[in-house]
Amino acid sequence: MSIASLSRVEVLKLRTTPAIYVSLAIIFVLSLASVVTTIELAGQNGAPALGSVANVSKTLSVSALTAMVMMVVGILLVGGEYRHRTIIGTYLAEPARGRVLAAKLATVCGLGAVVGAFTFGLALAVAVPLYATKGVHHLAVDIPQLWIGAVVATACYGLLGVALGALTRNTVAAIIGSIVWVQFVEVVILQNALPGLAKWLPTGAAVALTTFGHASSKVLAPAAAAAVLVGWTALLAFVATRITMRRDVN
Amino acid sequence: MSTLEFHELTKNYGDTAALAGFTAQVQPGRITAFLGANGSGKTTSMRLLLGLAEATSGTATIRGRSYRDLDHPLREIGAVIDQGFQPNRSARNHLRVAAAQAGVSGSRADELLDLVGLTDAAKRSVGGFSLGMRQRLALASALVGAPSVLVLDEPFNGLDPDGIQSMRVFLRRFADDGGTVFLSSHLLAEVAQSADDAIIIDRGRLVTAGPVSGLMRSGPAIVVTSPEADLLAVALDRQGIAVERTAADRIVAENVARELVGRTAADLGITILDMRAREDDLEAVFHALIHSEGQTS
Repeated sequence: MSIASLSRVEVLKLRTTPAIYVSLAIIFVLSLASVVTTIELAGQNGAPALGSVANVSKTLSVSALTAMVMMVVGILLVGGEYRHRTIIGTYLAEPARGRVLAAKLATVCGLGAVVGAFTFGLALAVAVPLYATKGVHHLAVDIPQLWIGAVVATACYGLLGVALGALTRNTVAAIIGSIVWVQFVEVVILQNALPGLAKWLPTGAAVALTTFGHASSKVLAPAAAAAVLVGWTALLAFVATRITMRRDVN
Repeated sequence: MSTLEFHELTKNYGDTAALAGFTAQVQPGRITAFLGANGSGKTTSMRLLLGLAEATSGTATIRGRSYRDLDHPLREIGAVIDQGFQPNRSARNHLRVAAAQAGVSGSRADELLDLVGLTDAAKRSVGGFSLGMRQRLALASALVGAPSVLVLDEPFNGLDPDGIQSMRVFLRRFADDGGTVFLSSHLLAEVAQSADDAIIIDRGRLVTAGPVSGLMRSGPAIVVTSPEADLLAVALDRQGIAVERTAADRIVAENVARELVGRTAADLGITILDMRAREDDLEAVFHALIHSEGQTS
């Protein structure tokens, strides 16, 4: 089967289970809640002042959520097949496992890009009039850069999820492990203790792409960050594909 | 030309040999049962045939080609081999996915639901299905591409008597229409009724293969009914023939020709009321073959 045909099968699989609808609902509800609360609570309890670069950047950083959720979707798309043993039927239909994984990567990449773009647009559509009601008529950030960053980061994290699902073949381990790595190891430890190293890692690169106004010593330039994130994604996808092609299905 | 062929197939897991040069053929238009104890190599052979695992050496082919070389695998071979179901997906949607994978119309899903008697459960999530319903759905999935070969791992598991009867009738019709059925099962009585041929495997090696009817005749035991059964038993025992007393007036002589028993009885003037070859069931043959294989290896 062609990669396009296999991708259509993957889309059908996603459409016929509740996981994708729950994931999208979580993204949209929490993104909107984040936008509204960041604007409404601006300047309170040490939060950045309303309309400041930090405040607007935080308001529009919904891709932190979309990227994590898409990573979980990517993990479920592959790891879930191993968990429920549907992977056997998938490989019986297409014995060329590299093509199967390529189709899953293509599907999640496309879905992640759409979800990232749409969610950022939704956040912007809510934020602009809400800021306007509070007297803020100019958003002091680079909107196109953040929008593109949201698309790239969400798509790449979805792809990282597919790779992690294929490598671990265990949804629970992959989801817990990835959340611990991103939120604890990278964000809490490395970005504070070793920012020079952290900016070269996936989350450091994603932060550089999806937020605005950081010191250049702590984050990479957007183009470099995009290259780093895409590089990590390509590396993990390549390793996952190689291992998947060699491994027996038990 | 055989439909399925295993040639010197070997699969090692570390130091453990799951298959050790297994060779066998499966013919078209017949139901071939694949028999062996747990861990004998049945499922491993099927997985290698279906491209789910790599052989250490040897080949497993479908009409001369490996599974991975088939252009449209699901249209040539349908398999039920422990594949699972997404529990939150409905039966119809499961078959829609299978149809898309096979490159056939989604309407095939409804045809197959009807065929396996699951139309009423089409919209239900598979997670709530009984084992028997899952087996029927798995069979429907295997048939989605209208293949001419079926490879089924324990297809009778979980089926109620009606389900077993339906499966038996379906497989018979499939084979009579020229299809090839290769099934593993531990239900030997069921296999004896359903299968044309049997392949018996033990510790990764072929033990024997051939028509089931031929295998069932392979035990040349003679059941003799006589009022002087004790005397006849002693006489046969003196000739080195293994004799088992099964009733006051009945003995079973193992591995002996009927003529020898008759001549022995005639020489001693023993009255014989009845003498017949024991009709070994497949289970007895299976155990005898596996046991003798274990003693010779």
